[in-house]
Amino acid sequence: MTDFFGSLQGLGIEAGTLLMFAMLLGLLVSGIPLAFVTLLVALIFALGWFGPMVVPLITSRVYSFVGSFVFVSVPMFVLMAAILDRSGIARDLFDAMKLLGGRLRGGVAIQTIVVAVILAAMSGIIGGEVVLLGLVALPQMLRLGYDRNLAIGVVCAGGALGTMVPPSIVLIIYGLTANVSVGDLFTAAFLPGLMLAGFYVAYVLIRAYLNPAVAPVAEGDPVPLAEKLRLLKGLILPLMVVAGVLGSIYGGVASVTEASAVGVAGVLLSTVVRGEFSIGLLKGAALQTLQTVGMIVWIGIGASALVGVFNLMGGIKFVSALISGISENPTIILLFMMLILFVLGMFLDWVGIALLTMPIFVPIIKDLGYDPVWFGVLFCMNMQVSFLSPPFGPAAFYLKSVAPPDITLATIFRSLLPFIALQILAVGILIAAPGITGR
Amino acid sequence: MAELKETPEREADPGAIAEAGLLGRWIDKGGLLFAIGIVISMLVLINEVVLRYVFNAPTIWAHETTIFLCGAAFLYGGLYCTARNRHIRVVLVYDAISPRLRRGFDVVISLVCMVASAFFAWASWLMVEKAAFRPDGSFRLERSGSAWDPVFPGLIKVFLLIVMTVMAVQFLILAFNYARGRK
Repeated sequence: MTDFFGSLQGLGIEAGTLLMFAMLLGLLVSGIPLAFVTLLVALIFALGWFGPMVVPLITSRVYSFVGSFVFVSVPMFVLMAAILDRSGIARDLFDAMKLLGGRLRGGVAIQTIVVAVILAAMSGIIGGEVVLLGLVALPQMLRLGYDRNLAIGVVCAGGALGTMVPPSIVLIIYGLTANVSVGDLFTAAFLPGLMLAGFYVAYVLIRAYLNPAVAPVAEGDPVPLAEKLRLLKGLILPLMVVAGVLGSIYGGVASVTEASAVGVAGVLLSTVVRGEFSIGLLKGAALQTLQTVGMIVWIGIGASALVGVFNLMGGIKFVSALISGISENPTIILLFMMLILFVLGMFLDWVGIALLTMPIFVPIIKDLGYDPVWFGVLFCMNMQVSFLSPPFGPAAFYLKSVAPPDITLATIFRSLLPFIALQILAVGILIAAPGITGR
Repeated sequence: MAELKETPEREADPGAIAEAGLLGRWIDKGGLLFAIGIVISMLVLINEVVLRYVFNAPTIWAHETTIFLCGAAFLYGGLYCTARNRHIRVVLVYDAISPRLRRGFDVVISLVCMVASAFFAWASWLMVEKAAFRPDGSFRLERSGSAWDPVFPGLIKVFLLIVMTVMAVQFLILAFNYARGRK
């Protein structure tokens, strides 16, 4: 065993990095959970490259990872979304938004996107939102005779906005890895998030007016005023929660973590006001939260251990030089990074991508003179694509779990292509016009 | 639109997978304790916000308590996902192979994960040696060193060791049950 300690160092950093990537890839493709692949490779290299003396370094990295105050906001936002999923708040919100859609062409699709943005401003994860919209909005659009692909695309792309419009878990994790203020990230991501939603709305309108058959207008009597007022009540609680969370972050009243707790309390109070609260609801939501943060945190634990070892080996410096060396032109380097993120996004979960690549990318970005906050928003936009892109776009799988059986995964992924194109357009615009982030 | 008013059907909670055995069911049940911890940390944060902004009287314990409660939940969450087979993985190959071969994969995957967890349990033991004992070997949990000075850092480190050890055992049980092919 002691022969093994330090023996890998003889390989040199080039071969060592290659061996590490090969091991990661091989173990990952065989179906071993990402968290344990990274942990195992981290420990093998810690011992093989150095020896037992660096092991405490890994464990202390893991310890500081789970002991960060900003990270506490992650379970809060997840809990908020889990409670939201279990209440009728989102459904009433959708009904209230009917007034907005009205007799506009493609009205229900636009209504869906607006609801998605409001839900996204309440919580910071995807999954629940796609499922909710899939249950509430999709059947209605299909019944009205909307083009199926358009309806599916709107639900998945709209649901994925959850992590683009602040608050967003993707931005929190980025902020932790890149060591930038999560509040700044939230401020910077606000307009880009709305811009992306705006693209979706424009796309729906253009399709609907070019070919009215894809989005028939709802027939029906005008809604009476009393009904309108009743429906508007569905808007009040969600908007109050949005105001509470975003208001306390942007207003500087509370830290992101505290604001996230305020959000949970707000959603919880809303369920009480609506008469939906029960211990069973809270228990179910809390257990789901435990599971979701378990997945996220353990990927983080593994990735943080691996990055620690790789850094100590000098690997990060090596890969940085490799990436910086591909061109004199910073834009080319940036586009190259975007390409890597797109490809990784097809296969890997965003948490893994953030924690494995950002420790390498962010220092390069800083060296090139770019703003790390802007890059965080760019990363977040890029991860929007990863939610939709085949073969593993999670949004498609979430929708599949609630969609009518005749809608196959292949249909869903085909429907998502125009929306992926819009997301890539948004990434391009963010690169071409960084001013959108207000930085 | 009467049909939209009903609460959407939720799938019944699947709980621990059958192959996780008795230990898996215990882990699944124990999750409630840590889920409650998350809810309590939410209440502590709210309490802190109110005390600070309304009464201008912040506490010295809220910050560290929430980190401790959530940190414990983070660590336990990994165990919880293991018992429920919810860890994120790439199923590119796994989904394409025959059920027979997949069983073989399940055994090997569980064993590899067991090695990773056991390895890491040993690594956390190295940390616990320093965090829970004085150099002379007597027991003393590491404290945070803040004004309140709780033993939370020591507790979390010991808890990490426990979680990693139980996780290794859980993966061994999984490997064994997959190999037997029994539900």
